[in-house]
Amino acid sequence: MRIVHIKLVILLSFILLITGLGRIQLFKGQHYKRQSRENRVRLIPIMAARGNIYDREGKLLAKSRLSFNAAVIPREAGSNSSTLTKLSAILEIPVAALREKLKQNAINPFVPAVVAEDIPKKKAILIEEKILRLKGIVIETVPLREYVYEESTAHLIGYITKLTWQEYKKLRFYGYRIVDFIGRTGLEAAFDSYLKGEDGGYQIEVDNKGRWIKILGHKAPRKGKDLHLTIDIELQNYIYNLTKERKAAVCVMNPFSGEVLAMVSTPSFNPNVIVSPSPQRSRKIKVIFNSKDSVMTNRNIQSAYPSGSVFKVVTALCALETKVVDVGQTINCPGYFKLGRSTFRCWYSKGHGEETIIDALKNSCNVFFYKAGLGAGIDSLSSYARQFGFGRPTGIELGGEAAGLVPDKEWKLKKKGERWYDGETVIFAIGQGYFLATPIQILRMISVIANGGNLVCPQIVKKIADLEACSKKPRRLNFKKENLDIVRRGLKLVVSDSGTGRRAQVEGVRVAGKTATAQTSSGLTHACFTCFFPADKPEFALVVFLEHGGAGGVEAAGVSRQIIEFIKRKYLSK
Amino acid sequence: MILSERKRSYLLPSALILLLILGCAALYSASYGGESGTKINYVALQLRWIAIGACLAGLVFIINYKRLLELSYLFYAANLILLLIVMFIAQPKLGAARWVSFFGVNCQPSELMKLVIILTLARFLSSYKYKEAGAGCVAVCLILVFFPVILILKQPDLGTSLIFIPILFAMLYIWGIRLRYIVLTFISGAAAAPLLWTLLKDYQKQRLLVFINPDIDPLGAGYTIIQSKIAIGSGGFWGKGLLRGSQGQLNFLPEHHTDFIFSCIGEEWGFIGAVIVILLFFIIIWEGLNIAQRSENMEKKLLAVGISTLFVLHVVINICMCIGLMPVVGLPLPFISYGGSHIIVFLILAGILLNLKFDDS
Repeated sequence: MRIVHIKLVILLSFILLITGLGRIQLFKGQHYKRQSRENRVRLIPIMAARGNIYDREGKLLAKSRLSFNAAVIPREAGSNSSTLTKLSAILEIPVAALREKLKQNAINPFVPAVVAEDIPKKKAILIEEKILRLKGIVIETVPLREYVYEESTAHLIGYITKLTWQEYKKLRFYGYRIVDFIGRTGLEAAFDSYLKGEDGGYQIEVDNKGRWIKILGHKAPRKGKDLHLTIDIELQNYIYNLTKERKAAVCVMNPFSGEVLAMVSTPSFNPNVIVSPSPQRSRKIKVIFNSKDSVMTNRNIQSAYPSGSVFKVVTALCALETKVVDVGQTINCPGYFKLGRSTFRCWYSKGHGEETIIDALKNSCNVFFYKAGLGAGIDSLSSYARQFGFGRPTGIELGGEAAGLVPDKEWKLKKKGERWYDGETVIFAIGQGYFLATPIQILRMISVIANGGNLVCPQIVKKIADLEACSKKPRRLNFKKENLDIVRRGLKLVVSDSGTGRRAQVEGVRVAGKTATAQTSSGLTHACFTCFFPADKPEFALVVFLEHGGAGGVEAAGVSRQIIEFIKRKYLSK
Repeated sequence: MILSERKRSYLLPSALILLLILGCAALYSASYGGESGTKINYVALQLRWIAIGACLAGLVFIINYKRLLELSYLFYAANLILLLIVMFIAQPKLGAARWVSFFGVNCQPSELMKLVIILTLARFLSSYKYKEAGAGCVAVCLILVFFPVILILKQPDLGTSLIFIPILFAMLYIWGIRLRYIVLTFISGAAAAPLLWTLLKDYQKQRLLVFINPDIDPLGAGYTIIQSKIAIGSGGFWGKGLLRGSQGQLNFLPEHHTDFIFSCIGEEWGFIGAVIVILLFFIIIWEGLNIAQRSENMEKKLLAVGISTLFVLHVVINICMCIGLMPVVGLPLPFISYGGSHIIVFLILAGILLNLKFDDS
């Protein structure tokens, strides 16, 4: 009978139904139960505020301010496009822009996606009041980073941006979320794990519109730890305003402890442009990143330059220590030095005549140091340069520090495939040739003379929350005290009426320093002046490096004088 | 078979009444949370439709089914005209024009056509014997079905239009057509499938593609399938309890009072509840086929098989859709899904089935 065939087909299809039902309800029931819970229970994170950054006197340098974001639940806005239209009217942002943002930020139909960041507080309140009529809109409050002194501290403090997907994959096991910010440069990067707080959140039950049905749990966010710096923001700002038109690296440090009081690099950038949302943000950021003047570079630590004559300090000490020259010994400077077929000139073509090592430092005579360096030899010269901390990072807390370069025979053979020539020793002795140093290394070098033979570690962070940051002990260098004194006497004379650094003289403060006018492969010379003061009882060490700034004795010493005067007014006139 | 003949006769109506009660309970739960602000009491509305449908079912139960068959050609013509009206003047709802308004009451002529086509085919086929009639008679049946299918496909309502084809085959099969004709038609149908694909609307294509792989569009077309599977699967064996289904109550599941009501049942009543509902359907359908089996009258056979086939198709397709075994097509779950036209038409069909059962002629 045909009816039996039909019955058979129907029986089979009912068996199919029950089997299918059993498969998903009985065998895969647990899997779907979990999915249903994930649908229902949502974690609404509350971002922890990042730690503040203060200067040595407790002035606020970087803080977190509360900002408001307008977020839309994608499922809601998709079906009800009038939501975006209404929101656009309130925020005065075109609907297309909001829609674009929604598309970018939507990750789940029920998780609110931010469409407008950092909206004015008044508008946020307005939206909150109308929230019943604006279906699917959520106002989120998030802490936003703000840098109080903008350009002045940009390199020092650095900035933060959101994690990239690749970074998130690596860092998610360390408590980072994809929406988290991470420090990119400066202290923000180096101390990210301290500054970053611990996010809290609400565990809530929601419906399909993301509306809160009830709160299941709550964990309060924990603010990040505050940083207290050794920086004096008044000095920092003074220096910034003094040098902002130039390409300069200026650093002030305590020569005994290594505490950095100011570190300015110009030209600078405004880190608030990067961290705070604004309509033209991406364009503005592009301007910063593509700048020809490398505004992002902290020239104090990330750029290595030919140091020029400041290196004569090393050569002088090396020659004294290796007994190549003696305090009383004089060397004649006829204005040039012949080595084989080459002639090396002094900057003063008439020649300085017979001079002692102290006079040579005062005059910044090239010929004296050509001879002294050649006498000591490349091996001693590079060894002493290394003892002074050149050729390797100083270990300051900031990242991306350049090592500089101390050339020697081995390096030359390996890099250039050639043996070392005496002519190269000659120019190395006056800080030219292959030798490269960062301004902070120069500052550390001058501090060795100032503090009587200790190599300090520059330090910026004094305290993390309530804990003193441990400072690295200075390294004792085995230089003879009398040799250091000789160099110091020379450096004092540099900043005297007849010395090359006479423009750095300040009434009432005895300054000891060294000028440098470093030749570059192209363009104007670099101008550098490094000093410590008061010369007999040093409290401050200073380096001013002006990239393509002209003559060290004129430009760099001039800037230094103003800085020293400022410090005198603030610290030394008690 | 265990039950006495007298007790057996109560099986069909009791299953039907139980199903209607369970349906209202499910609907109560499905419309309980509702969209805040726009709470609609679907149970009260549904009870109104059930009342109207029950009256009409009582009417067809009292009058002889033969009177209905006599009027069937008239019904067919009228229903075709209604479909044409829908095509030209109806207001679209949810992207498809399926409704036509009479004196403020919206009705869905495509639902009515399910009843009318069964009556029409039963009348037409019963007036011929297969051995005498042959191929010409089959061709007329195909034409009878062709018009409504095309008109409903145009609305567009793929699910409803395709349901007529298996009903036709089931009735032809009972009528006595040779199996080879049916096989031949299936083969030619399969060959024409690619052609049919090009005729489909974009959203229909999307639904079919999404059925094959819901993850291609988890927030769009695939969303419903995924949410429905989560709802049913998370119910487990015992279910989450009445009004406790988070998927349905929190509106994650769209259309959960109409086409996806079975997902709510599966979530809140679990495997045990869902199987009970399926078994009740099975009883109704099995009883319908028993009527056909026991009767020697071709009219009764055709009617009973047509109605049972329609029920089976609705139940199987709707539930398979909810558990992700079939693409999303808009077929309601008989007697349970909310909907005026569907409830009334299915109750009338049930009335006919009862009439056939208690007809002694």
